Amino acid sequence: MGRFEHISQRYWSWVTLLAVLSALGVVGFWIRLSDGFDDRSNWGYTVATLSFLLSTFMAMPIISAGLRLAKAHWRRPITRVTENMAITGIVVMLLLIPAVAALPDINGRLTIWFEFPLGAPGVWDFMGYGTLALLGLVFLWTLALPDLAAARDHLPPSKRQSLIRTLAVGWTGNTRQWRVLHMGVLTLGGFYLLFYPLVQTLMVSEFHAGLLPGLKDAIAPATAVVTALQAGTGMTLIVMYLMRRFGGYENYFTIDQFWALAKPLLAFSLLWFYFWWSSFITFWYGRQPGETALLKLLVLDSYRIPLMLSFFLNFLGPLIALVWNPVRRSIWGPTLVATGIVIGAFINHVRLYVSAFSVDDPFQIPRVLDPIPAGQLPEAPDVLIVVGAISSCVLLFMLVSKIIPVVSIWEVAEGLRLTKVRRFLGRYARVIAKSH
Amino acid sequence: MYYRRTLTEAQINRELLGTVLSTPLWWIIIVSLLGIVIAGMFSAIGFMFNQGLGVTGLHQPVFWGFFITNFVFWVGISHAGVMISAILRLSQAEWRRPMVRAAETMTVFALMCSLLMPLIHAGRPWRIFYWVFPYDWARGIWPDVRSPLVWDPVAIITYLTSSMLFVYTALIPDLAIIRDRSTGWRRSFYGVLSLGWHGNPRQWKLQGLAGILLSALILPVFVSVHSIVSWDFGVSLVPSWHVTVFAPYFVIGAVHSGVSAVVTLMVIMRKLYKLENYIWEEHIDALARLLIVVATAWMFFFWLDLVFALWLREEQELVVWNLRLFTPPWSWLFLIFFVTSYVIPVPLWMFRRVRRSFTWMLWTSLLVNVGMFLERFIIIVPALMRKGPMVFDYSSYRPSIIEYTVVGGTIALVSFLLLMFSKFFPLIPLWEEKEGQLLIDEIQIGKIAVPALVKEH
Repeated sequence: MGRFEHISQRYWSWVTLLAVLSALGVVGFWIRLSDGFDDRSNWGYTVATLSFLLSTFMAMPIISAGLRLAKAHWRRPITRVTENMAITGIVVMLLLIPAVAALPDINGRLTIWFEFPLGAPGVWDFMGYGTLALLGLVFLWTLALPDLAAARDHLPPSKRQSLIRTLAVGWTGNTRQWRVLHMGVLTLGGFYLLFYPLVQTLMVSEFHAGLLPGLKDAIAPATAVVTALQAGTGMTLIVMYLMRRFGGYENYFTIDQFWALAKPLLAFSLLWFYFWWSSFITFWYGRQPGETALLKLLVLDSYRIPLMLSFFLNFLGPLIALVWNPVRRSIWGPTLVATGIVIGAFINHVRLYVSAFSVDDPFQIPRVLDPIPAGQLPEAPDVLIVVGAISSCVLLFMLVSKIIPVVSIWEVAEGLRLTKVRRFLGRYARVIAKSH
Repeated sequence: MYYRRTLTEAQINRELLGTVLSTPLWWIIIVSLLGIVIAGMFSAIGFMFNQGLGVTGLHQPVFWGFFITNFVFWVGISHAGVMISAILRLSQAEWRRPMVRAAETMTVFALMCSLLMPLIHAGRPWRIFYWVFPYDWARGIWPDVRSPLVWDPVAIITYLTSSMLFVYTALIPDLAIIRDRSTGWRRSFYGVLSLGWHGNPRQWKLQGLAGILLSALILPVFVSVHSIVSWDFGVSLVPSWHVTVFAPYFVIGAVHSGVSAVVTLMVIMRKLYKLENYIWEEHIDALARLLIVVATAWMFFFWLDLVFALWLREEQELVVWNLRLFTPPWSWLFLIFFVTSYVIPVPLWMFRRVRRSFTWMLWTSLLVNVGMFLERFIIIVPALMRKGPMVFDYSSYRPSIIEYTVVGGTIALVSFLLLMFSKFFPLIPLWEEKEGQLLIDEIQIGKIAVPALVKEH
């Protein structure tokens, strides 16, 4: 609570810098907007950024929900960091507007809506993404209620305290409130887990598969979910490292948390390859004209280098590093690998979405990509949009972290009551209560 | 409450070694009945070898029928062992203890059974040797190593070998216990198998290390096996098979089917062997929760398969899905598959009372496997029986009595092998149970003593 209450000068410096970078993103967006939406390829990097944010920041609440359902005790100090990231749903919703506007007409192209337009794709996309963003925010708010009440009672009167008082909605911590909280958290977490793959299916089908003639890649939405879990875990590790290094949270983000998260990170890295390979081998053996053209675009020719980079950063590098327990059981090891994974994830999103948006005619029949577009490098407005969007996510996270503590106080306190240390077979061992 | 049944070591030895050291009457009766069914199966196979594949329902263009469906089904069941044993061991789930050995053993027998199917399906299985050792060198005919049909046996035999190692490594401490309680030839038999185990700290350390290493190493094999089975279909150009999602869809379907089979097995074991002290409501509750997650993930993959099958609106693809969804009898089979594998069991498992009822769990888990068998059947047969280009003679496929006998016989065969195993080895690991007892503790919170577990730092 002490760290939460105090707002340092350094914090404001970072907020200012991030606000400036976010403003630059708006400038970049404005430049792109002045060119209109006729040239779809102008918006490829914006869509790649949208997908990247959806697959990293918005995947993080899944980690909280998943670990909570699995009753992993080590999760307690880290879940709030992941839940707070739900606030980035606001940026995702903003980026969705130009992304949908840049889509070609639904008539005649491949779409998940088939013959059921009724406002498709825009209305349904906004409903889908909006519901996910809302679920994330309600999930965050519900879990934060006890801490908001603690902050309300602890902070001196101010505008900040007043906002926190409003958000705490009269929480007093009686038995009924706790019961509702536990039920609500499980339900909301479950819904978020179920809803996330559906939104990823919308993302992949609408902005990737629907624009590439002849692409029938049923595994793509599932791949998007797995890569999102990988990038989300990676981003969690990075945030943990930064909070530990610069925020003074060494006692909360300990080696136990890094070690524990490094294991799923390794598993997700293996799954990254498995899902990619499952798709690749089917196309490789199929050798249909449409498949060959798409392989040339996404794997062998135009976007070969992004694929190789992503292959190394998302699969090979993590495998080589994290297979060793000393690396997993360190602070620097998982953090370094996680940084590579997040960079690789961005490159992979560029490969998938910039390529799709650079196709001239998604309506062409027969559905064989011709001509195969060349790889597209970012221009200055693209760089500004990417930097601005990511900065605004970090900015929102920093702002919300002064409303809701970044470490869940009530969960850590609960964990302390459920744990004890005792001598066991000549060693010290931790005893963990199984409340179920 | 969880982990609160305190059992002494002597009690564990006595109760779990009961069927190994004595032979109940029911065991003899069931084994004899299963033996008759198995004899019937081998007679049917012999008849088929003698008469040729014409006695089956296979005909142009449907050359993959019940046998291949059964092959995929048993490979699927085999995924129970690693899911329950390796993954739960690595994730240190305490509730795994009573079910690991039965699941691992079922894996081994299911794999043996699955390997039998392609051999039978070949019609003249002795010709397999020509495939392994090509005989006509001059013509340069070699097995095509680029084909998943070649990867299949390699992956399955690797999985079978590693699963047997897995079972055996975990058996060693129990074998030593049986050795010390046996006389005569049995003592020599278990003495050889237990490899001089005395339970010193070094042996325990090595045994633990081997368990962890095998758990980690078997995982890629586990994933690869059913993925390769899926690529038997996926890398072909048959409409509705040439789908990128098949590999994870098959794997997660296999886990769904395999874990359900473990539930069935646990409930039957509990009843037959009177294992009430070891298999509790909490265990099948945990399995049911796992099944909810697995089944829902599987449903997501199924949905992706369906949506993207229709994605390109290709005529041949639409023909197959039209057969599956709207043309009887396939549409009825599809409906039964869908209802039994997901619509009935998963909503029921949401209720704690169902999850903790052995009767409900037995029937719902059996339903899942009826559905999963039909799923494989529906994937395979309608895709082949359509009237495609250059197909001039086509009609529906109806399995013959020979095929029904063989499929029924494989169920009897796996059950028979499990019963035979239980005669020589305990189906619940004694040492795991004893270790579990050691880790029991409790924490006082206010006035309540909450059950707790020791976790090493």
